[in-house]
Amino acid sequence: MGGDLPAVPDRVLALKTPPFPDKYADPFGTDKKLDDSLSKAIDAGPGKSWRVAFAIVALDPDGKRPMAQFRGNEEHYGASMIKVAALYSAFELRKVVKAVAKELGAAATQKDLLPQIARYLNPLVMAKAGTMSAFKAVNGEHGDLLKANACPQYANVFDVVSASPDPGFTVKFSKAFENHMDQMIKVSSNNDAAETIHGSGYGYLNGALASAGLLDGSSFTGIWLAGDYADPGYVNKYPYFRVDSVNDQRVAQATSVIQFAKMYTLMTDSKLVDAASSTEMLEYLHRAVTYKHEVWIDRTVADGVPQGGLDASEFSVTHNKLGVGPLKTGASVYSEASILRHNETGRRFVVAWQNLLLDNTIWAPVAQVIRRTIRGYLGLTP
Amino acid sequence: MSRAALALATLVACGSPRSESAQKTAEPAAPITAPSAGSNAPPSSPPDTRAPTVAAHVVDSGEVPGPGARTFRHLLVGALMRAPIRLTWTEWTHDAHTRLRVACQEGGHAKIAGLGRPGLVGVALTGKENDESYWFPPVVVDYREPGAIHDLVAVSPLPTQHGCSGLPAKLRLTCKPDRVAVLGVGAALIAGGTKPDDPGHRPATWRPSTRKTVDAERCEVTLPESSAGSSFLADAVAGQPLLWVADHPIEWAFENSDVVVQAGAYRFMPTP
Repeated sequence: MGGDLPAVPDRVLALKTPPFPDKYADPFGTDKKLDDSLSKAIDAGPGKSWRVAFAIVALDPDGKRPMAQFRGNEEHYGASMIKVAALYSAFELRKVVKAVAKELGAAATQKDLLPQIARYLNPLVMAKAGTMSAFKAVNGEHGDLLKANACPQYANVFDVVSASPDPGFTVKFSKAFENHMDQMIKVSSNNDAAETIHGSGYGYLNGALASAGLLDGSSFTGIWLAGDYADPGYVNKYPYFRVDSVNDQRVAQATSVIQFAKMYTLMTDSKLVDAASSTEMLEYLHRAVTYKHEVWIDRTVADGVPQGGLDASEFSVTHNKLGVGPLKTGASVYSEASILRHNETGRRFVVAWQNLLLDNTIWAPVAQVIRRTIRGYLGLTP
Repeated sequence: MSRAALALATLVACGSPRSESAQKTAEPAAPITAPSAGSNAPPSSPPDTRAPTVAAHVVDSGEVPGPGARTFRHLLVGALMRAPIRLTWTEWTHDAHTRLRVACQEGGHAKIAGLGRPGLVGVALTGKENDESYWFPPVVVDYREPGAIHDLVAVSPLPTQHGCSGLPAKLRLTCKPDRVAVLGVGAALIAGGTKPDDPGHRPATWRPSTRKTVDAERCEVTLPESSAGSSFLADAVAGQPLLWVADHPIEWAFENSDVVVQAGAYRFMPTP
């Protein structure tokens, strides 16, 4: 963590690099055909009382990004789907740290680069976290957010390497940290998620989400991640900081599906962090499919029993993060954010959904809503 | 460390008569003989079109594990597994060389009550997963030492379909004595019931929780750099060493049900 770094000389660092991203432009438009298709799909399937929050974005060839949603702004506990936010913040942090390193140039040695960066960024991270009421002490839950839990663990996240041909040094993700991100996404490892989340720190992670426009830092709607998934006995487990949710009262891993779909859409359009980072993040989500096929929505059979998922001959999930986790009632809710392709037309869509409780129809309600909405939008027989 | 140096270090670390005898000669990998379909399948197993498509086989009659063969099992279940997998490893010596056989099985062959958790897809570690009828006939891969001690190569076709795809073509064993705490046969994993941060959350526990500490030989599995990270099954093998226990084989039982429970432990294997 930042506190473990060697001390640097006490001097003013007159750096200019913004610590957090600018707000991303909203990529979404509206399309009556997509709205109507979703509405009809829900009417024909689970009905308007459906508990699931659902958003779909058409990645149209002309660059338009119409989005349709159902309960799209509701904040829900999203289980491990929310881990993608930790992936995003790590890449946002890398961009900032590289920019600060470039600004420092030859003024920093290999040994003191990260301490100097921490000395610059940490106060800004703490200031940003200080604007978020969810990080204030709550009786019976936790105290104020501490610097140790708020700020990045620079030395664990980055290796310092030569910036040649530029002067000075820059950073790259350490192999160990890349492995944490990889395991977090492709097999949903909780301990690796903890290491990834600790890498950014709650303050940087949620500060980046808020600055990017993916979280409203006042109402705490949008993507919120301030719980590290680790079991209570895990070494260096962080306390949890919670916000209100529709499905499970106060929770530390939550989102609205609109904001989650926005994060995916920006990534798909090479606009999240930057083009190279978007490509890298998509590779992590792609490996979740190619490595072990961790996908809910295309499960068609298990133990000889139909599961109701999308047929692989019609749709291909290309990028994914799934989740399942318990509510306070003990019931488990499922969530998933995917990029999928309609095979016949090659058209691609972002789909995010959460708060599904399984019954004997298993994936059929979600799969049918996806299928009917896409087919309706594409003008195909529902 | 060079390949040869590691092999020597392995030999020294193992220090067992089995390993010492294994350095006497080196032989090239034997040609793969024609598979005899179903030879490793349980006699009572009915034909099933959903069974893995690579037939089980034995390399030759001299390669049947004999007295002194040791067994270990990886058991991988949970909501995040499309189909549960179990890998049953058998190690023995033939002509002074180590032989290793893995029998890979997918679950789902028969419908068994009580395999899962309420509201959760997939198979949980309840103990009921030990029911043999639940498992499809195995796909078998044999490994031999073509040269360096404990550098093993597959001499059987590697499965390419279903959950058994991705077994490593080559692996290296680095062994040393160990002590391991082992749960009883079929010990059940009890999930915490709520999220780790929720009030009243209990860490996952095993029932019964009694463990017996036993002597074991611990063999870490190393994959060639080119295959590390490319296959879930190969990584699962490399991530959890083979543990040979003389008196009573043990298994590594791991359930990945995401936030509900993500835990594993050693259990004694059921007696056949």
